[in-house]
Amino acid sequence: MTATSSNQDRVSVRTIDTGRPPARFARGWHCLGLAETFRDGAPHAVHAFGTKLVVFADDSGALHVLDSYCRHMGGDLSQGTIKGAELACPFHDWRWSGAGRCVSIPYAKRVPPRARTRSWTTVERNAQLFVWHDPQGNPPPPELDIPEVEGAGSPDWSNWAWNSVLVEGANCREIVDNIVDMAHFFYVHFAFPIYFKNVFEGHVATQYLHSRGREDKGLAAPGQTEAVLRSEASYFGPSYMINDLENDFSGFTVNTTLINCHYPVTSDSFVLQWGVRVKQIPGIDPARADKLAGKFAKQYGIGFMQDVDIWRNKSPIDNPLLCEEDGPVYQLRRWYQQFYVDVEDVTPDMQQRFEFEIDTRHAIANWEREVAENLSRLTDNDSP
Amino acid sequence: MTRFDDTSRFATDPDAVPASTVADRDEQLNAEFRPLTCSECGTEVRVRKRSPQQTSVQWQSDSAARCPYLARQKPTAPRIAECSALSRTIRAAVQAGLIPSGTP
Repeated sequence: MTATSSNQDRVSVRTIDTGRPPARFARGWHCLGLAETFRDGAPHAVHAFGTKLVVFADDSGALHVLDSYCRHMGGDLSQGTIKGAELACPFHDWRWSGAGRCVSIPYAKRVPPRARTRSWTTVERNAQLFVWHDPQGNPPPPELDIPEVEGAGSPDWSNWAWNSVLVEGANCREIVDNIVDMAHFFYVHFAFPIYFKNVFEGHVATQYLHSRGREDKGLAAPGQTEAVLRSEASYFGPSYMINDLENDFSGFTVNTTLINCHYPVTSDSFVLQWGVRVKQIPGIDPARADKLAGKFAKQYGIGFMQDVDIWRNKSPIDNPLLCEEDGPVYQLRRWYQQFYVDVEDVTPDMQQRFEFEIDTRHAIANWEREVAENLSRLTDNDSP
Repeated sequence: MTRFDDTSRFATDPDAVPASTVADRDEQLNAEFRPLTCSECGTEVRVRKRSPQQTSVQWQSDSAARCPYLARQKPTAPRIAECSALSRTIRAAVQAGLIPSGTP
């Protein structure tokens, strides 16, 4: 008996193909944070794409991103000083323009003609700073522009409440995988998904989700069966997701936008950032919306840390074993791969439209049973 | 090369992907898809259903080129969830037994 079952095990055991971390970083726009935070008069170091960058605002307030190491003797420009339109190296005061040219060396008769460093292409959108990364050095094509969120800059919306965390020990593919992962919402985030669909096409990957909270986790009103959250989330390129959310709260609806974005630090670490804004509710003090955005950002922060706990401990896996209620992980990764090959090597199937709707009936029935069992256990424990 | 290269993991990585992973990818990306032509605009897609409620639709060509509904899509907007004409075509094909509806 024992021998038989161990023989069977040997035949049927499945192994994990951990793959290898990608040898390059994704081509695309990457958000570095709220633009205003870089306008405090000091240069900012950003560890990204396996190197160190420096972000600085010149005297006109325009933001620039340069390689942080001075081409003279390797000084760290992020430790330097902004002097007018230039960033001065702390080592020998070489002055670098936002375009990456050394424009003066105060102790020298002339600047060497080859005094050029890498200036990164940037754009400000949605009050955030973006940097373009392309291992081939091509300029960003206009069709990959980061979309402006609805009503950007208008008083109809609160300010962004913004947070970030450095995730170590995981490649950033882990967070991108989440866009197809219905079941983790229940187990990791204590949400109760009801409807789930993905569409990938071109450089955009979209997730449609309707859900409510888990009553056994105190996240839903008793007996609630309708979705109270309608969510439409899209990655525009490899790293920047705009998530439009509609939340029903006892009789009124709150509209929020969640930005979920990241930039790679190394092949096994990344900075995860999230920002939340809330649409003003007529008749309610506008200052309340900023407060509410802060509160939501805190809640999403708890959610992201639940993900981080999983990523810090899990194995990378190139051959996920899927059941029929899982989302299209393989198609998602085929889409994601377009950002990791030279632009000439992007194949049509990486960008061709793909739609996948999950059959949620089994999950809903089983999860309802599980929630009910947990609730009755809680009630039993409460009774004297 | 016209398709996602199943045999190399990354363009710069000479290591071959294990055969079992290649097989998994092929099954997930290609197995059991049935060709279907939209009765409205003639777009050719491939459809797979694992259950009456689950549907995968793999578009073959640039969708905007054939489907007038999806042609409205902007690159800066979320992907449109579905083309209702194609959904009708799929339902009809399932009813006609041209596409297996999977296990309930």
